[in-house]
Amino acid sequence: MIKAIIIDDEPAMQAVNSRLLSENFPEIHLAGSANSIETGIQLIKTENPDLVLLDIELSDGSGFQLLQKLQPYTFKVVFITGFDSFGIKAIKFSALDYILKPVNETEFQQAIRRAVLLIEQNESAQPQLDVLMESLKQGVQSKKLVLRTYEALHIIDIADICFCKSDNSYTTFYFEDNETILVSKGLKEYEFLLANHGFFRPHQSYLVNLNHVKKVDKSDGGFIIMKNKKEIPVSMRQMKNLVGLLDQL
Amino acid sequence: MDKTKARIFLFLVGIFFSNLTIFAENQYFTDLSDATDSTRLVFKKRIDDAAHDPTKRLEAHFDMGAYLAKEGETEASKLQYETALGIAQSIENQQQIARISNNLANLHASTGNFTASNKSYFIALASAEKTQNSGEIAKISMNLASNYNYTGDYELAIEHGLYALKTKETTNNLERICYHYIAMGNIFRENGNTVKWEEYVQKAYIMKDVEGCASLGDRAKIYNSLGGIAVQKGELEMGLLYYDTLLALSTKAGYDQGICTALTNSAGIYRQLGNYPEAMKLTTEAEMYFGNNPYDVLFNNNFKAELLQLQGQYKQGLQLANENLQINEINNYSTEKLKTLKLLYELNYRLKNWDKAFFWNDSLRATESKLRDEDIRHSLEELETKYETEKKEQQIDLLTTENKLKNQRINAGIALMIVLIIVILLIFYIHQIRKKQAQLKQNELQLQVLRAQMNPHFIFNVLGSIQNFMLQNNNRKAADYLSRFAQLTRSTLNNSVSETIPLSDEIEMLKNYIELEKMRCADKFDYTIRFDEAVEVDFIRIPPMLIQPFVENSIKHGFKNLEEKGILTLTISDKTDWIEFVIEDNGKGMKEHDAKTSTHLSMANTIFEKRRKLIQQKHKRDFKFELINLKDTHPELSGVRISIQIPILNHD
Repeated sequence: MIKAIIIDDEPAMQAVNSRLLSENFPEIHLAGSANSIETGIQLIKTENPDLVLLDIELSDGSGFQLLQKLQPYTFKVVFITGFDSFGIKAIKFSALDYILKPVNETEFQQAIRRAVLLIEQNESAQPQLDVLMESLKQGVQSKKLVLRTYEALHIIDIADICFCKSDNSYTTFYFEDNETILVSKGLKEYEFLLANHGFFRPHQSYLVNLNHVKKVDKSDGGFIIMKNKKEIPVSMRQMKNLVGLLDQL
Repeated sequence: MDKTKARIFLFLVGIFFSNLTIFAENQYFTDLSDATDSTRLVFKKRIDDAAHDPTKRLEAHFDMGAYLAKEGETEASKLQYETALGIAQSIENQQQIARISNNLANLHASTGNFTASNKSYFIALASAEKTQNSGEIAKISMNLASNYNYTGDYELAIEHGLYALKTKETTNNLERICYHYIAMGNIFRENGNTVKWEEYVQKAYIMKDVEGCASLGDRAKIYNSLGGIAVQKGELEMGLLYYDTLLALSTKAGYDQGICTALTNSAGIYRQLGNYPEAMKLTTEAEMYFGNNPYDVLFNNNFKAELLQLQGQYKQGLQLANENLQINEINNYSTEKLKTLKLLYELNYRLKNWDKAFFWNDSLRATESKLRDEDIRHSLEELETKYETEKKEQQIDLLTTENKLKNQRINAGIALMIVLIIVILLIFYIHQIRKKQAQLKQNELQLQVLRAQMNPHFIFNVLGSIQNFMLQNNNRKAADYLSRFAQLTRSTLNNSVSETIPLSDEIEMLKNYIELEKMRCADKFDYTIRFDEAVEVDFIRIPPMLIQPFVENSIKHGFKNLEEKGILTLTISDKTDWIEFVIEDNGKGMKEHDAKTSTHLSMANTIFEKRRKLIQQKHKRDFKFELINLKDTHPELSGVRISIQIPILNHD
């Protein structure tokens, strides 16, 4: 039996999530609800839950602050947020789950299911939390990225990524040591995350770490030649942007 | 200190000024030299012939006067000049009045009648000033100065001399400037100011070879002055050389005055050298070249008397001095008078005529103090200094004027620059305002876009649908519907503020919207969104939310009351510069009536047109919108095909 609690300052959302949880996941027992950081911490300390549905925007601060105060902890978190806040990017960097308000049942099911899986695998939440906290620091760019596959959580150095290749809604990461990781998220999502880390999307299907580029071959419509000799096509529309970007470096 | 004064040219002034004429006419008359009477007859005939032409008559009298002057018939010459002057005055020809009066004055001066001479010069000067002929003004003024110089009125002399020079220099008239410098120098010389004298002679010497600056006579005078200065400095040999040059020059030109001057001045040097016989010889030789000028006699008598005095022949000397006293004009030549008085005193003293000696000594001192007064010398220098200062000031004025002109030009340039800058700023400003207006318009349009999509009708329909699901107790569907609506709202809020969005986002929004509509009307229609996989949906950027109103129109109107299942097809293709959206439905087709009553479509159309214009203005890109009733082209089909071209704005 998995023990869960909900921390949200909106009673209606508490009710919605509670209902969705009980209807979709009979194996989860809802141990209680709280509406602030203070009451949330108390509840967690008394109940010691496995899963916390945590609203980012709380009346007396943010959900992130609550987590910081509780470190180290063992429970899994699924964030709830109303609008695309700055926190979303940090959440994505750490490959944590989140649900957007108003809750879409399908998305809710997917998020909770992934959390349950992690609980069953008894995976430590600490590395993800570290990346999250690092990413939340203002003015500092996270050096790490969490990639979650069915089997494992990969904490990777962003600098080690050579390039990413999309395959429908999957993305394959290629690393310096020729290793690859396949993730079930679209390339666009990673473009969004890594654009400020020296990554560039030269082609619809590729996202490239410019630090791993050896040269740009402008013949035949253009190719990027990586340091590991891999060739990556450049879309005509992106050639100008690429040249501009390289000039800046 | 009283060094024997070298002789100066007398009335070179007047003679020289008319000397060109004289030489020319002389040439002419030389041919007729045997027929002096017939020459006069020629003049008489000229005068008679011109009885009715005053100008010609005047000319004839003038020429005759000049001729007579040359012949030494001074009085007859004066008569001719006076007649000519009368004619000139009667016809008020100022130029002629000045010219004739000047010559008449010269004539008077040459006979030592300075009162009459000055009077004529003033008439000449007044006329010359009326004609504003600077050369004439300077010439007459300088002649006047020379007169005053002889009579010892140095202040008046310097005043007129400076006026002459000033007139010359202000008008930058260099004609015979050497004559003016020499005349000026002579004034200082008479006044005992050797430094200034030399200064002016040097000025003349420098200019003598510049064309038109010096006549032959002027050149003679320069050498004479140079000789005088050399003597003054004790360089006697040098002085002799200069006088020899003068003698050669004058002999060659047949210029008696010059020869006479050269001889007497050389004699002066020999006297200083103690060679009294040579001095006496030369001065006697000079007598052969005398004109009818009393100065010549006065100067020679004085010189000889001094020579005799030096040789102890007091009685003969006294005789000559007394001779001078008999000449009336001596009062007009201050320097010579002074010399005579001195001789009278000294010789009487030597001869032990004490009474007479005492008497002449008194006269001498009285005259001397008048002429050699230190105060006068000072005031003269002051006058000259004042003139020099004025000259400099004038030059400064000139420079200032030039600078002013330059400054004006610079100012004009600056003004032009300022105007240009203002114009540029204005253009820039207007451009900015236009841009701002465009921006405001865009902002306004963004709001309108938002309103178009989130129009109240749509919102209440959605809310109504949710209510409907709830009443049907279909909570799950209501919740699903709500979350989709939220998602659409989120992307609408995000995208309506962006100028461009990726094509993928636009497609996502359309999909979301169509899904909502589909749920609402209970799957009454199916839809497909088709595009080639090669279309770079993430890279292509287009202005957001231009398509939705047309899709909405197809669903609302096309599928309304449609019995069969509706089919909505959205085809997207990459045309390199444009993205083409083709929205096709199998509905009832568009009637005129529909287009008019559908306020939403017309509003959508208006907004579309406005945004199209804005994009056109900003990105210089036009795009098309086309609506076809399929029945019109394909009778077997129904429905509407809307084709919209949206510009790709990747690099704009």
